[in-house]
Amino acid sequence: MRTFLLALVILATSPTELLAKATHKREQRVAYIAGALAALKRVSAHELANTGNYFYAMGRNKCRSSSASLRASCLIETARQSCRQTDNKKRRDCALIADVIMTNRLSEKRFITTRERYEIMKNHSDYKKQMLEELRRRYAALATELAMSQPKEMLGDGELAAAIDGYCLQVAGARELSWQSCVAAIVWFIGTSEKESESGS
Amino acid sequence: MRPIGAKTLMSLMLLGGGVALTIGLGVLRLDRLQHLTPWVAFLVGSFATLAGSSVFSFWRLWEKSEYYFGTTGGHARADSMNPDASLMLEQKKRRLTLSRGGRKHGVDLPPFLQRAVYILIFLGLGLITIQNRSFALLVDFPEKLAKSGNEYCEEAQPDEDYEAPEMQGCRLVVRAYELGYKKSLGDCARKTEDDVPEVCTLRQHDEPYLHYSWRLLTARTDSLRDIANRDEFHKLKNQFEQKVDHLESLVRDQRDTVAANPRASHHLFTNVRDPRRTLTQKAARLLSLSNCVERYAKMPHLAPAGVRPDARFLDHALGQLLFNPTYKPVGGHCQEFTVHWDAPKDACQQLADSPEAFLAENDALQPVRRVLARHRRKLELNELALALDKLDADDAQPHNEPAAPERIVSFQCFVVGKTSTAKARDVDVTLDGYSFAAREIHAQAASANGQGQIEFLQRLATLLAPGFRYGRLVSRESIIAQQEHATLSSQYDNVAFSLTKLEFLRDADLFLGNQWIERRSDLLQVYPFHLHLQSFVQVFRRAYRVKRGRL
Repeated sequence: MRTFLLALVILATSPTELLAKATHKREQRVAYIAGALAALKRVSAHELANTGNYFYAMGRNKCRSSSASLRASCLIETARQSCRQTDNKKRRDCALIADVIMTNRLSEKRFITTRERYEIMKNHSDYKKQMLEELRRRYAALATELAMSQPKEMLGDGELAAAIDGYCLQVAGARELSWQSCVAAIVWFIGTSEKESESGS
Repeated sequence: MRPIGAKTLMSLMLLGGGVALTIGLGVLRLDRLQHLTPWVAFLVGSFATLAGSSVFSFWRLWEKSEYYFGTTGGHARADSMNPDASLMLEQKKRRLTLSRGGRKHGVDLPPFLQRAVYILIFLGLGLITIQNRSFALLVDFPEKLAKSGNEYCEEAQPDEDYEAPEMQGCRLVVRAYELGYKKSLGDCARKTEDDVPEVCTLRQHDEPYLHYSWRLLTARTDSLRDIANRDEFHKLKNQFEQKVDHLESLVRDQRDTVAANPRASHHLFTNVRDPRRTLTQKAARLLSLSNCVERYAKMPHLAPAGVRPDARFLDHALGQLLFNPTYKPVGGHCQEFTVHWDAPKDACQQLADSPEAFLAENDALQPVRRVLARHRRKLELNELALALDKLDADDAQPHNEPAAPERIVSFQCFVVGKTSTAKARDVDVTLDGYSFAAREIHAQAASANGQGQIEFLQRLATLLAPGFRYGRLVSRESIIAQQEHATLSSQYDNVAFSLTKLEFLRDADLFLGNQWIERRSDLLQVYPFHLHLQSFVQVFRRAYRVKRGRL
């Protein structure tokens, strides 16, 4: 009788949640962020640059649209096809890295407004390079805030993903910045900073 | 053990307390002492020496104590105690006694040690109270005092207009005008479009204080001379008489402003049970310990799920729609909005049938009447202002009509039950000669897992803002792209591309259907509320401010 009542209470409170598959629970988000960080560590700087350029070009050409949803679905489809061509071992890393790059690409306007973009284009001949540098500075600012807001022990390898998730949940909405934009920016900055220091640039 | 003198005991106790205090406050840290400026160190030392020596002298501490504290006991018999001693404390055959006289027998610190102890005590006090910053503030104090109440002219900038040879002599004329030696600039008046001399009449930086005072006095006597003429006097007399006739309203208006009395009275009646039902919560509300402004200052996007969802969701929805300062401008002031919990389901009907009795029963009659009285006073003072403007057309000020009564007083009924209605029903209410329209809406009860919150927000918005509409044209959802709900929800069946896929939610406004997102608590955590909730709230507040406001 007790078991029956318990089952009834559970079903009454969340019937659809039992059936719906969750993909963005906290532990799933943290695992995903950790996977993305690890993937960025594993890939070489050269491959990373090529992937970035590829998605940059796709975003400006084939996947160009005024609707964020359409651009996102086009980029996801492109990434799926592109990663299918890699070998099985690297396919997951390819998807993770592509996800970070695409999210950054889609959220560029939230970091650099149209007006600022116009100023950069007006004042610099190689505006693409300047844009990337400016974006990097904005990502660095976010990463610095994360570092200052968390205790030191939370920023070790094991806890970094959880710290990024928690920080971006706090920031999301407070600055017209979505959770995924914040996560992708910080993950990209941390992942590529190590590569820059390795290559000495 | 020989008895110890009272003066010595007091000195040692004060010294012990002082040392403990200075160590506890970290005053004796070496780095802190090293950072003291020489003047501060000198001041502390002087203070300690002077104060300690003064206390030593005035309290006659060089003399031996008249009273002595001693202990007796152990194997000593009780009758062996000094007959002049008073017993203060006794425990397990140990006795603490206070005796008078017997200076030969007691122990007291020698005078030089007594003085040293008090100097040390005041040294500790000086180190605690006098620091580098407080010393700097003390030094600046006379200058600040002298400057207070004075406003100085800005530093003079090189004036191009007076650089021309024919205008150079005007610098002297302008300076004389600023210092009050000339009544007008004459030919040196700046030839601007407005032809207004831009001369500062405040105190000049190099002007002595007495000279500035004299200028103020002569300016005041000149203005009094203007007033003393007959016509001006009659005008002032008429203005005064007009104001005296409305004295009570003027006083009450000032009192309302100073006391920050409510400038509106909006009431929401709901059959939902009061969420703050524990004794502690009621006491906190009574004592205004939980400030409604602070409560709504940092709100999560949606209320957390749990027990008694209806009350929490309603309170949360109200806060988001009207009071959350994250979305600007704020829709209303929480002190002027009252929620009447546990109201009957037919509250609006009862209000329409007998408004006075119903409002009195719910402690709403007095707040409404106070606001309406304040409105009447505002109208009266507006008429007074217009009458005064007629007397003195030169000094006419722009006047705003106070908001209409139906904007500053409103009644709403939010009924939670098994059914919900998309539109609100209006019921006419007449109170003290004023006509109001009480609005009523029905909403379906929420579930404990958090579902139903969006409906609460939508129903409440419809109820509070007559004419409120939210559709795709005002939403931040893209008009071009609209995926079917089934297609969109199937995107979130696996974790692939978890970050990029969340971009689709930018085109899935919770307030335009998309209830499937409400059933996904994991997606709600990362949902872009800053887009859709903000859009919803801002559209609502625009519609709300058209119909509702405050004096």
